[in-house]
Amino acid sequence: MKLSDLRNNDTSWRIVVLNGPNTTAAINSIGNLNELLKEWAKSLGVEIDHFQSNHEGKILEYIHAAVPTATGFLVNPGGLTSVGESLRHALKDSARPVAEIHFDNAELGSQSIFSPSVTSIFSGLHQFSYLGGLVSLVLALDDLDFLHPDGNSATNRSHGTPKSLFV
Amino acid sequence: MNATISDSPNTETKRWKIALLNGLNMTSLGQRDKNVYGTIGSLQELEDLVSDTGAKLGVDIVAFHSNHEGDLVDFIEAATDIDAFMINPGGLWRFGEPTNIAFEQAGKPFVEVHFANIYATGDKSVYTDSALATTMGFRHYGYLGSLVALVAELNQGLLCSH
Repeated sequence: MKLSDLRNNDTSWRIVVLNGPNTTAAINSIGNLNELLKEWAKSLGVEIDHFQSNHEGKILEYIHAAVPTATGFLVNPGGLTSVGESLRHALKDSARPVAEIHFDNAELGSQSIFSPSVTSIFSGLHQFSYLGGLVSLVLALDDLDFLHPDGNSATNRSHGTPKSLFV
Repeated sequence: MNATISDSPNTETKRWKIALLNGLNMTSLGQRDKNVYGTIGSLQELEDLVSDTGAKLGVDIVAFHSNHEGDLVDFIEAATDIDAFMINPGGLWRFGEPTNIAFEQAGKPFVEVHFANIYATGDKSVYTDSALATTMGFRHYGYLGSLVALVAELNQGLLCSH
């Protein structure tokens, strides 16, 4: 099947995939993540950009430059998961939907300072966490009542803020 | 399409059978807070959507839901022919230890799925440490992304010996 069979829309959203410090070993262990991301994006009918860096400042500057044309972010904070406050700020400032990605659930749980402020989370399925996060995010972006950037209904969350369950 | 998501199951293996469990209060889907649950009309609509997506991916979905935690435990204990589980535990995310233990005893991979980002509450799900994977905050689309990724993972042979 083509992944685009799951969609009701053919907008070519631009999804930015970011991998933080210490992620290269996991990425290299599964083959060529760049190629996988390209294949999945093509099958879904969206554009994808992938950036990995061990330098938090480089990731911040990449985000600053990407925001005007990015529709949403998939971010594996790697070694910044428990300490990357500046990365968390840059993602919040982007006012775009952000999905936090992890290879393994052990990286999630109470360790992550990102989880409470991201739109969504996909964790545990190794390289396929990026696939599941990408499919989920694109379907949500297609929905005017959820993450579609042109949606203006009360349930639209395209500006990236999760709705507290207690509000 | 890449080789990791096949049009049909590998002929050398049996067709994957994946259980979809929905827990407490999920029977009310469609009448719940649309800020959290979005616009999906009913639990039946959700189960049909996941089943249809499973058919496209070449796997079988067995849907089950209950408002009684004991029913979920009974289902998991009896589900010896299930290859993997997806569960939205509903309100059990905070205290559903019996269901969590049932999964651990079953020894099968399971994916925890939530409509909302429950980590935004500041609390942790009891399932995350024992779940293979956790998906939250994508409303009902998280079920579809989870299913696609779970099937991709199963087809890699990383989880099961057959």
